[in-house]
Amino acid sequence: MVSHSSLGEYEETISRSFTRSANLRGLLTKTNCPQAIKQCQPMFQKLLNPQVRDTLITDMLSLSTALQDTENAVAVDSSNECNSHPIPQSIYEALVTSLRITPPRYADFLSHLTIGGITYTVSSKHLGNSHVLLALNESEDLVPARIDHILQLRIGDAVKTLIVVRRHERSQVPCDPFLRYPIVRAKMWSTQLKEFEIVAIDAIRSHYAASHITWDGIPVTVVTSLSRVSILRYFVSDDLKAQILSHRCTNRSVC
Amino acid sequence: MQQLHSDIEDMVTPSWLTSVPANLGSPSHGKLKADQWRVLGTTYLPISLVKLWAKVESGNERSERCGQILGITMSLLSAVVVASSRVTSPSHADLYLQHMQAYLAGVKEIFPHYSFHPNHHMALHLHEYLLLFGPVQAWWTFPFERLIGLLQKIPTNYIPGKC
Repeated sequence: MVSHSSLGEYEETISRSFTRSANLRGLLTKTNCPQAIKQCQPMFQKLLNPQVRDTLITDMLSLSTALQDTENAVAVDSSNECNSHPIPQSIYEALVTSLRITPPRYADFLSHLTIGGITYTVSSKHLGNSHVLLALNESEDLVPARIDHILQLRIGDAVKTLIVVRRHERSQVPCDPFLRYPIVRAKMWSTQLKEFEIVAIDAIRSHYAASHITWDGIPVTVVTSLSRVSILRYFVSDDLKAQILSHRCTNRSVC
Repeated sequence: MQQLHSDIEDMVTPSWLTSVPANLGSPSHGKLKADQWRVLGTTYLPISLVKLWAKVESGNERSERCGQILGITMSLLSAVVVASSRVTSPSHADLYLQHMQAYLAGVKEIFPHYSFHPNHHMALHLHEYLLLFGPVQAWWTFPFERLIGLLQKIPTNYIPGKC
């Protein structure tokens, strides 16, 4: 954009447009906002929300969620297709095993939920958004799984949100080449999925990227973590230290 | 490049992940943004490069050289992952420096005639910035770049005014 240092109509157009957009966003958050406009908030949000398709937006959403209280960290927005349906037998059996109580026969089936500004969906809606890394046991590595259903159960007065997932089986590849580079956080898993399991939503750690390849004649899924947090305990192993030392610069003044 | 193109096309990713052009290397997609380079390096490249170069045939000079290049590339990508973590610590900063030094030393060894650029030198200073200022998201200038981009996209009639 060609510009100059003096103020004029051109800059006025830019600043007016920018301020109008900010005022429209601000209007919805004001306490004296007319009720009729508040009713249209979901539609406004869909119209105004930027496409969440880059690092900066996800950073901002994550930060703004962190500043809210934990109750709002998990959001099920009003556009969610929330329908009460009978629970299929295979999922019901998994629920009985997981909850150790007799669950209700009906549940609300959600299409998506938002945690920390990131939207997780069921696999039938968006496969990539349904791929999650789960912390099922704090002492073990994260496990990749696919979300097939998101349930809301009414147990007594409480409403419990659970995800129905199918985990990847462990890979049969004898030597996973990605394990040499633990910081990159890629790992081979079997393409086969286990049966339905019921998991609490607080087990979700992040999304992952999935690539289906063949290694040593075995079809595998390479799972790459998309977490924006590097946790040192996953990669500061003795093997890694040896690997780093073997590559380490002997002459520190390389440039 | 064909391998990389097909890997970019076939990878299943969430909708929020920055998209990378599937025809990478073609002039038609223009320059990549910094975030696209980061996603390309930390998500797509490791899969393609490991598939192509991880199996090193001993005695095969080309294969051994590709294995070396894979090693230093993964050092660089590891440094990027650690540096762009939303959580940092002195251990993160040290790990970043180790990998960045391993990368630079590897480049010097494999490509002895390569001339380093000022950015290579500046990358070594990130270690102390991580220690001094914390996670990069708190002090990198991409939000300002974003605002500039947003202002540039506002439709105007391109008629400059007068004071």
